[in-house]
Amino acid sequence: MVTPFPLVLIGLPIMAAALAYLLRRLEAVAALLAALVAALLAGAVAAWPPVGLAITPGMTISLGAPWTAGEQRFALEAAARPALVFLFGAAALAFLGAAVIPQGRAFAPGGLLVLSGFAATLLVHPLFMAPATLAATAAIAVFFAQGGRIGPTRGALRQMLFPFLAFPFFLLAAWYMAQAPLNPDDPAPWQTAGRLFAWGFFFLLGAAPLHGAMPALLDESPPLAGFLLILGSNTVVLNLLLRFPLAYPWLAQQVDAGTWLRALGLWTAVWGGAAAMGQRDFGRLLGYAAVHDYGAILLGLSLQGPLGAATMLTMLLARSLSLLMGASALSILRERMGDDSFARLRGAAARLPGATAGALLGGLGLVGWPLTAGFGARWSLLVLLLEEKETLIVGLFALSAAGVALGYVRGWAALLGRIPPEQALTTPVEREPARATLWMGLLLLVASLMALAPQVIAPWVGRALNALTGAVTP
Amino acid sequence: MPDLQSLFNTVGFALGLPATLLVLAASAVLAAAQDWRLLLAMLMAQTVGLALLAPRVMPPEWAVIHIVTVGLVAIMWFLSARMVVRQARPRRSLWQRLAAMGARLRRGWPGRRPGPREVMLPTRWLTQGLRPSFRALLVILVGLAAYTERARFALPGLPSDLGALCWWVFIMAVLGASLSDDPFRLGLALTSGLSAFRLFYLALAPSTLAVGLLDGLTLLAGLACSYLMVAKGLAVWLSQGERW
Repeated sequence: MVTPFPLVLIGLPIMAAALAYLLRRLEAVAALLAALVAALLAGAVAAWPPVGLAITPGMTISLGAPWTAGEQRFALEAAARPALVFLFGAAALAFLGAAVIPQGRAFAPGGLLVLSGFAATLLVHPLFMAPATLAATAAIAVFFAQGGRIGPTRGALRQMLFPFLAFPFFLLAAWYMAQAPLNPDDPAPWQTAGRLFAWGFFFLLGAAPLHGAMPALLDESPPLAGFLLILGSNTVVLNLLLRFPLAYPWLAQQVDAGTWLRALGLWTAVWGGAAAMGQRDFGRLLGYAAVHDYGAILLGLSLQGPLGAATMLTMLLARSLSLLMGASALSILRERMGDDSFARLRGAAARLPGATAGALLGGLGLVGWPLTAGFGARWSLLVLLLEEKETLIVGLFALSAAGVALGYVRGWAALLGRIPPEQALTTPVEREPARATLWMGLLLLVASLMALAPQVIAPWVGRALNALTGAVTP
Repeated sequence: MPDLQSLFNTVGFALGLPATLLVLAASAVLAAAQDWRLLLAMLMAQTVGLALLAPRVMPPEWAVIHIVTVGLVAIMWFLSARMVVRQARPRRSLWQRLAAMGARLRRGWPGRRPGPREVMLPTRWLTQGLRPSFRALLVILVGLAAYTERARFALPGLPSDLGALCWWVFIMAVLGASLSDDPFRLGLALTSGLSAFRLFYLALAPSTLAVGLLDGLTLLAGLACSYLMVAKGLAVWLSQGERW
């Protein structure tokens, strides 16, 4: 029997989730299984050709065939491939991190289910159904984000809310699109559909002022779950944003996406910077640093040329690394100290060196600080903006980045400070486990490589760019 | 025996105005009220009202499916809320409950002031937020604004009265969602908003896929909110030192 590739991409994580659920008491084993599945899928999407047959043990996979479930069709097209590889790759790293630093029993099975939902969103056809699929994924992700914890629910709730607000706009826009050919001389249906798509993306993007999910997720959820949800939804939405104008070319005439994205990007970056400055715990600080970085990505996307898209993709890669580093460090800090507030972490650097370095460099990487993973792409963004004579935007953007950096300087000062004597006597800080230090060291090494030799990732970015500018089926 | 369509035609014709009034009132109460049992009852009232009106623009079976979906959601939320309440309150015998009821009556129930223990009952997380009087004022203000701008609220594919009703439900849902950050209230707002959108969209583009999609999403959102209600409710209980 020949199995269509989209069914494998959606179904295999679900089957693995069932197995991981059975193994949930052995957290590290379940996380390693999830990492293996995600890595295999990333490798398969990256290495296998778009058409043909792949023969695996027990299964023959048709690479070009779509999968139809009821009235819904799922097909893998060229423009979705880079996002899928990136998503599965990032998830594999997150699961690997969870094998080193435990994130809770729900992490591996929940993460695999969410991964399957994200894959379905990227594969679904017609394209306007993708936001509805994302809404369903977000509802399932609630269980993953909350992770069995009894406590605040803002992060889980907010990440679900905006896809639910967005998808009706896409369904209505599709209806208007279907009406337009009935009266070809009337531009009104196209205009309405364009506006509805724009509003839908406004809710879906989760940029400021609708950014609330990011800080709340990193503040309340298991940090690596927050990482996977934030990065996954960012990747899916940005991929959809790039594919929509290719699938519906008339959109470019109806919506001035560049102007809107630039305004949204700047507003998001400034908001993130201003809010990060005053934070008093590493979770929310990382959240607002991620908001600031997301603003930078939207600014890159607003440049609307191949250079802009390449900058955006490089920033997304750097974001994944910095965010993973920050989230891993946050996990260690919370595990060892029970809290991530600056006051509680005073003097923890001596006992938790890996977590301290990861928290600082992860955060500064999201700002694009020199010698961090995000620096190269951030520099390119500023140069491209200056070439367009956007001096004011560059100035405001640099100020907001300074806000995030200031937040991290305050956090660093707390970590390097002296342990309060009463705390030293009552609750001595336990050293971080060697495997966690090793994991942080590995991430720091990769980040340093990306900072010192950003050209290493240029071929991957080039391939992704080629795929994204290819033909897209509406 | 009459089939579902003729039954709905008859009932819908007879109950058209009452159903409209029911939906209007239930939506307003959903945005303003605070008691979680009343809110659940109003959600069901709103759904039934919309279902009675829906056969004007869609097959009645689809309206019945929605009642079943929202009914399931309401049952999940009821069970979640009851679980939190039962965790929060010690099990009491019938006599103890009757004695407690008597004590409440002595304090002037139903217009009573809450006793010192009740003020912090963990069921308050269900409906936390602004006071009902302020919410009611907002409902009236928003309602007046919507009434003055009613000419703008035409929706394609729907008769004008149903279009206005959909807008009303949607506006009240947005108002309800914007006044609170807790899973129960947001869940209520999402379900109401999806009900209004469902009526509008299925009139516009009728398809079984859309029915499945919208009801499936309603059910998923309901399930997620139900889980979060328990997570947050138990947290409030624990934070109060398990005193109840």
